Amino acid sequence: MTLSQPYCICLRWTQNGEPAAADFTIGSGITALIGPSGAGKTTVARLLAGLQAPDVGTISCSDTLLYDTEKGINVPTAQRHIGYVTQDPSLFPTLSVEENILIASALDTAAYETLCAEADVTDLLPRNPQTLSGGEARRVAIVRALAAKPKLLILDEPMTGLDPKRRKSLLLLIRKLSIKTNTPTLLITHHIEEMLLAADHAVLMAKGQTLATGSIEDVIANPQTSAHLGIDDAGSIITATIISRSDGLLCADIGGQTIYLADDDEPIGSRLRLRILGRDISIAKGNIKNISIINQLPAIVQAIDSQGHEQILTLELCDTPHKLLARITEKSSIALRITEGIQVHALVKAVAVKELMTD
Amino acid sequence: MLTAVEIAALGLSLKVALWATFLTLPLAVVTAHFLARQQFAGKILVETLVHVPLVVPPVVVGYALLLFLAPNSGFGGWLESIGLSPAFKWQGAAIASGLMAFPLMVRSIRQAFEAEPNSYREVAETLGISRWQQFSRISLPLAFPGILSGAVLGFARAIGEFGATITFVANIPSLTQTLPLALYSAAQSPGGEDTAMRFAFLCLVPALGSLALSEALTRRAKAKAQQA
Repeated sequence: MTLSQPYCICLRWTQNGEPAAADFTIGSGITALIGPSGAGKTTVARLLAGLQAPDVGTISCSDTLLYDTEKGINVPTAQRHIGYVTQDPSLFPTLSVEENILIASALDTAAYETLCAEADVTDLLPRNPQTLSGGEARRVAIVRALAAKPKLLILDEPMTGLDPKRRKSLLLLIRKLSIKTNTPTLLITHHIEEMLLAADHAVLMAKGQTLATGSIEDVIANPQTSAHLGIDDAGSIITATIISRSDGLLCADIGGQTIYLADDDEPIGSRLRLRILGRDISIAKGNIKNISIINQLPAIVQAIDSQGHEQILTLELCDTPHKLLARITEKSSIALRITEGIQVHALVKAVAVKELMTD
Repeated sequence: MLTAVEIAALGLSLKVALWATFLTLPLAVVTAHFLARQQFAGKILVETLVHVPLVVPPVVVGYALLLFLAPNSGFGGWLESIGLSPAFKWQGAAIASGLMAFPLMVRSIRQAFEAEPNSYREVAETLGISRWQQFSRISLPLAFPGILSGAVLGFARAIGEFGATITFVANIPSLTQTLPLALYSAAQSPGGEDTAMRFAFLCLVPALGSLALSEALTRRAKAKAQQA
């Protein structure tokens, strides 16, 4: 599943009197647009969909110019083919669920039936949208948007107001549908967890500017992310392949080193996305005996980012392409004489390594 | 029991008011939807124009109709030549009542269109649903109780129409003499107090009935809009 070319988004507008800009690409799969409240995420979505026009500026998507104040170009929303679903499903109460989906459907009967079955909405079709639960209504809204065969699907915090269990199942459904229908999807969220569960790429935004873009791993390992989304969530993502299991532990290859994690019945050979939080990593200068921590990973301190009396260390795991973020106090850092470029050992408890999803 | 004159006036009033409502309603729906949705320079001018019959003395409206549609005017003369002149006929009364009811209907129906959440239109646009489909399958059914309420309100206004009607089509018994006009005639004639009182009651019944119905429909529409 590849897009012939990724969408290059280039937005310029004015936010609270300040010039704002967003430049990023949307490839196949799910791209998370993440940032704190007030970052301008929803504005980006509405500008792209044509529901809002910038005071001054341009909007382009790949080589198509959608809006330009100077050239007087404004492609109407209906001609942009950009699906837009928010936390408010806005199902039309005058139509049944099925009519809601069919009114804009560009699918043939077979594709329509498959989509409904995939999204588990087939049983809901004859119902009045006002009788649906919050989770059901959002599923229908997403199916309705996909049935119109959009070039791009924007989901603006679609999980808001759902309980954690429903959030997760909706996210997994979004991921499944995005892949099956081959629709590039922009998922807007301010929850790191949601991004980690569903997205392939990420864009970090704050105060009307894009601060980091790239793979999930890159964005999550960027200290800017923890600076804007809370230091408690600072951490990193590592892709790993399970190579063996013994003594209730799984051993996973992370390309050059191995890491142990609690056995969660994953079959050997499966690829996992692992999350390690910065607060779960301790730093030692050298190997330590007589300690319960199994993972002692050699790493080079690549960068030090001071946040108050704490430091976020960016560690490059030796012989691997991966980076870890470690969160330590200023006091420990001085005691250990941590400087950029020195080698340390990152100590990670096996139980602190969290599996996010299986690819 | 009602007298033959009373029955004739009541029947004529109902016929005139019903036709006035039927003729005006489609125009009121289109105008209300237009005013509820479109933003354009000079919108306030259009809004003022729509509301003119509500604020000028009805006799002015009747006089204007006379100027444009009387057989001795250009357009009225042409209508006369093809046998469609409304002057001094019940059809003219329907036009005058409809025109007077128009702003009331627009106001009520416009509220119903404005109660529709903005998000419906936004979502419909992103889905590429045509404007006609949006209107006919979403906005119109959603606003239906409000439209019905506007129609009833317009009917009530048309039933009570006096000034514009008497100016445009005069007060000819069994031809253009609706209930209020008959009441006026009775009140003008010596010893007609009892007759006038009976006509007054006859005027009250349909007017009050339709007002109550309109109020009930508006409440239902509001409840429905909040639910959505």
